[in-house]
Amino acid sequence: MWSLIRQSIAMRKVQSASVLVGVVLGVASLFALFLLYQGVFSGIATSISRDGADLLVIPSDAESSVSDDDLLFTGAPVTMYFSSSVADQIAGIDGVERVTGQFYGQTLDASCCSSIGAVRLVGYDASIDWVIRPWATMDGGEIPSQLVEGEVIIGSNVKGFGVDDPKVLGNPVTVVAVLAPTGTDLDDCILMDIDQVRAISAATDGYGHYWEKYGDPTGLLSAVLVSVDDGDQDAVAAKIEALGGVHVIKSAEAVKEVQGQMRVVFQVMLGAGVLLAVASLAKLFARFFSMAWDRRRELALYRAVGASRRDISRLIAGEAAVLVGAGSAVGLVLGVGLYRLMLGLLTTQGGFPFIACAPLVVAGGAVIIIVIFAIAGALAVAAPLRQAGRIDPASALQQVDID
Amino acid sequence: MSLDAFGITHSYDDDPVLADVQLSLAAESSVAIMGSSGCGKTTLLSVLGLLLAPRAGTVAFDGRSSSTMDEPERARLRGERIGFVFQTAQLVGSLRAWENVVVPARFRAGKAAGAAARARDLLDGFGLSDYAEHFPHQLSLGQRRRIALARALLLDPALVIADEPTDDLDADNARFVADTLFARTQEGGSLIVATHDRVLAERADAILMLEDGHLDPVSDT
Ligand SMILES: Nc1ncnc2c1ncn2[C@@H]1O[C@H](COP(=O)(O)OP(=O)(O)O)[C@@H](O)[C@H]1O
Ligand SMILES: [Mg+2]
Repeated sequence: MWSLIRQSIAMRKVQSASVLVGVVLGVASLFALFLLYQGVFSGIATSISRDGADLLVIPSDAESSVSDDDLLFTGAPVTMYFSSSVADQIAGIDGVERVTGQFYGQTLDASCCSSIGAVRLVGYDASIDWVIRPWATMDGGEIPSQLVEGEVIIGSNVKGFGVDDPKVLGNPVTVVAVLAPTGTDLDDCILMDIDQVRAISAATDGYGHYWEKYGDPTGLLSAVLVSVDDGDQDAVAAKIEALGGVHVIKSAEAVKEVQGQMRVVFQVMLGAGVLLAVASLAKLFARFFSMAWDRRRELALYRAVGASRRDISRLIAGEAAVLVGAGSAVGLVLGVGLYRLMLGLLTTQGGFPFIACAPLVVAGGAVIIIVIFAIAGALAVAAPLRQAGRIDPASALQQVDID
Repeated sequence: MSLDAFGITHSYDDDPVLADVQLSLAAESSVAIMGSSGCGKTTLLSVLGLLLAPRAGTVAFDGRSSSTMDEPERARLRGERIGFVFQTAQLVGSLRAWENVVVPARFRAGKAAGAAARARDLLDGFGLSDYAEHFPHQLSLGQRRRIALARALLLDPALVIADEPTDDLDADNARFVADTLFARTQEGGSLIVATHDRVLAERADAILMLEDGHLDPVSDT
């Protein structure tokens, strides 16, 4: 039986290949889409649930270098500064609940540090921060209420700190916490106490022109994160803007913007994915419908020499199962590749929070897609099977040879 | 295997072909069915071989009526106890010669193991050892018919039903096919052969003539 299935597939190479390719593309696109969708929306959901900042305030001269949605989640550490007095002014505004400042230091690489690849040094004040703290993973450690010299927190993508004597810019450091994946540039950051980063930056070669321009780093901030009392965010934002020299990003709007962009992207992709899936199932149906018809003499002969109706059904269903099974397996692998490709393309379009699916979710998605294709495949061969069941074994005795 | 058919009546649409046909074949014996073209020989063989359900009448094998069997059981009987030699070779074009021979074993669990070797033996015996890997379209008519014969004999059936097995064949091939079929009756097999070849028919234990839907013995001349 198995050898008949194999031969039948091998014999109809073009047809089999086109069905196979159809299933592969359908499964791959749906799977890639599933992984992306899960990643993007769990990223957004996590960002929202972590109750970050309502408003992000940055120097107005940095505005042109990054877009709002970059800044929202990532804090997109760019080299930009304003006076730390801005934070005090904002804290004094009516309706502002909490304020915390960040200082963006230099980009670090393997030449100076234990880290592998480029990471950003970010200084913040752990004693008043509420934005970073919730991202500390359970097993990644608890963030102390105050970071002392040499203590660092690393983002989920930062590698190379597993060694015995991790270093940052030649100084020995201790990793006190690892952050959960945020899907943002935060994943590529090393966080230190803000005053230590200021001191390091002040001493860094090539940064002198910044301090000439903005003043001594001890009095500077790169961004102020603001949480607003329940009430009118817009009014508070307007009051902050009125301080001058600052640009305010509203997180609710930025989230909406990112979600809106993603939704459009996903609708387009979903349309394409569904179309591909439907086309592949239509191909499957056509293949098996015409197969049962083209091969009715062959199937009649099988009946005549001892195949029961059930054997014939098994033959056809087995062929469909092999094509759908093999196509799904290849499709899942290809889907992962497609997912990486699309993720790469999307991230070049701007930062957005992305959290890769947990293995269990990936497996669940794979199972769901395989089940969908199995059911659709079964529906596609149902009619051909019924047709094959009616094949008259006596027609095998009629004159024409089987081709 | 003995075969008894009672009251076989069949018609296509409203064209009567068989009318109350009786036939009894003892185990290890042979019968030839003769008759003009279109008289219903193929139809009768289809009924006797359980390929076609007649409008009326029953067929019994070793005393057991086929009407008491379900579809899988009838399929098993066709596969294991009956070998068909069709009027044309009816080879499957996508399968090689030896794979065609092995087809009946593909549907019989447990028979697949020895089947390939048995197919090679049969092909060797039929002078086709060099053609086992050929596809049907690469073979002559005579070669194809011998392959079809090997397929019918693969599982050593108790009854062979052959429909004009020598039709269209040259003298050598025709003799080979006839010899092979009748050699089996010496070894305990039963044979029903439809033919209008008088010489072939006379090798059978009995000759029956199908005419106007009735099957009657031919008095020996
Ligand atoms: N499947 C069929 N449908 C309709 N008529 C058929 C069918 N098979 C055979 N017939 C008709 O039944 C008659 C007997 O055919 P058949 O049994 O093939 O005769 P034979 O084998 O003796 O030539 C013929 O008239 C033929 O046209
Ligand atoms: Mg005929």
